[in-house]
Amino acid sequence: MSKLLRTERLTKHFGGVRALGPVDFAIEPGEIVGLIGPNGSGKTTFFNVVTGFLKPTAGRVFWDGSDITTLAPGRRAKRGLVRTFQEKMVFPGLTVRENLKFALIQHGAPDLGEAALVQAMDRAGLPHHTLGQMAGDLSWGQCRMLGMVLALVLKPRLLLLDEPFAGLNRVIAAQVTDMLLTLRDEGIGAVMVEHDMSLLLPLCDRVTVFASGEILGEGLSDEILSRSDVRAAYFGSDVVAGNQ
Amino acid sequence: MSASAPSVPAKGGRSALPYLGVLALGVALALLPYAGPTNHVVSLATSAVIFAIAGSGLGFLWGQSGQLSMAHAAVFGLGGYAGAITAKFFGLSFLAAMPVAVLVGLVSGALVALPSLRTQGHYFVILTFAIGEVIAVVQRRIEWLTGGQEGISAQPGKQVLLGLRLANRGEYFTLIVLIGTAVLLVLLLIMRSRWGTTLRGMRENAPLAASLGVNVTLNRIYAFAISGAVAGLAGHLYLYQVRFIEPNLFTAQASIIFLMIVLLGGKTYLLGPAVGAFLYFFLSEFLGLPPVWNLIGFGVVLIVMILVAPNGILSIIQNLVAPRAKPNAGTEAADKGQAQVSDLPNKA
Repeated sequence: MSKLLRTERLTKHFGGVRALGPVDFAIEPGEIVGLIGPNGSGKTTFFNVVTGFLKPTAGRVFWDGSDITTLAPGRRAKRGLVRTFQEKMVFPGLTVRENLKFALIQHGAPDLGEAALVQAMDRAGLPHHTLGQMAGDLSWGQCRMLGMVLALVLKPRLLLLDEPFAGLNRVIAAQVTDMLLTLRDEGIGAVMVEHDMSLLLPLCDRVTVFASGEILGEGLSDEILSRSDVRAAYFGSDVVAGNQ
Repeated sequence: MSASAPSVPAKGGRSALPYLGVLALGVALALLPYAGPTNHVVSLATSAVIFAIAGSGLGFLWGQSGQLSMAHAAVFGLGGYAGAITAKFFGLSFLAAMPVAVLVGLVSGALVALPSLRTQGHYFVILTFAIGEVIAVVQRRIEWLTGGQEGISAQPGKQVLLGLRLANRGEYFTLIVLIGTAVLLVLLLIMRSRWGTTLRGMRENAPLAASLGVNVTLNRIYAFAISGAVAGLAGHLYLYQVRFIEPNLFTAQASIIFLMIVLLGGKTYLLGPAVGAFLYFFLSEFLGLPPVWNLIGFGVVLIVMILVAPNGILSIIQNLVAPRAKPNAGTEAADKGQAQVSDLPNKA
């Protein structure tokens, strides 16, 4: 199957420090890939460069076969490459209604009426009475769900999710999991940065491990996590040695 | 009246009521000279209306798109110079020069935005401050065009617009109130449009807006251009009030006055700058303090406002009339123990 997103020797330097790369990565439509690695291993930098928030120092990004390396983040989003943020996930000073309207407007939706808004709310399992509430007043879990819905309104083909389960209780985490599985059935794939392995691994078709800005390994979750170099990079060499 | 953009009603978002409210207020204010006020009051009210118009441009930029420009007074001055220069060199009338002033404001406003391509936040505000000062220096230097320190005069003569004589203080007040009302109606239309929602999203969280498909830079330039056009128009109206224009009128100090009136009234409210402008001009007159004490007094008021009501006087009134709804108890229970976004240190 053809690759939906592909990077070719993607590299990012901050001054003299190499934060990323060279990274060769690819994902097929409808695939869910987990990105794991210790803090500072380049996962978020990878997200930022792929989505156009940072310019790469070298390398290229291909979307559905086209080179999008120089495309602005907004143009990438309109092609279906949509990301979410770990913390800045909603417009806090706008009502939930205005948040949803914002996303519908960017999608070019002709109808911004209540029916369209309620449909979006239902998809996230958000109670309708929150429509008039400021997004900044929502609970963390509701914010996370609203952030997901904002991304989904754009009808993405691939979602880049930065720690989608961070700070969620089990009930809402299960809601997010259900939503992602439904999306996969609809052919919408995801690349997820997530530290909670118990939530991440059951969802993923495969896992990519980052360390020191590079891809250390890729494969099925069981295979990849049993590798000693991956365990050493992720959990620390002392821990791995202690367990042996 | 729902003149505050963030609180556009759930249903009836296309309601004509806010427009009718602005129109009614404008017409009522335009009739002020016919109530027999003194010339001094008319003169103060004229200044207040002109600063309210210019402030509305800054309020739109700051309150809607989240960008603050300290070059606003310079753009205001360029609008005034456009009217004065076209009158002096080409004999253009008040009406004929008006679109020129608006265009000059629009283009210079957009040019002020260009540094935002590379800078953001406080650095950008400092840059706009520097741009404003550069414009003031240039106005002084090109004497053959601007008259240098001596400035240029512009006389209304016997010009009449909408049956109102420009040379008559009372009639000129009525005219500029009508123009100001039209400006507010256009700004309200923009604030309630799809683009208005896009701007407020950019204000709240520019990275998220970009990730959802918005070209943030381009939209910021557009917002600056609109703000500049309003400032240019106000500068032109100011020219025909004072009938003389010189560069010292448009330095950073004037920008601080614009900032103050916007903050005082409330930057996210359509009528905020107008409320701030009338307070600025009439409160000092009412208190009758010497100019220095006036400045000190406004400084203190500003500090108190920032601490107590950073969204301006209109936010206090709004909270009294319609307090902001608290999160629903059922919602809180569902997510018990989880922090709210507004509680987080890295709030968007």
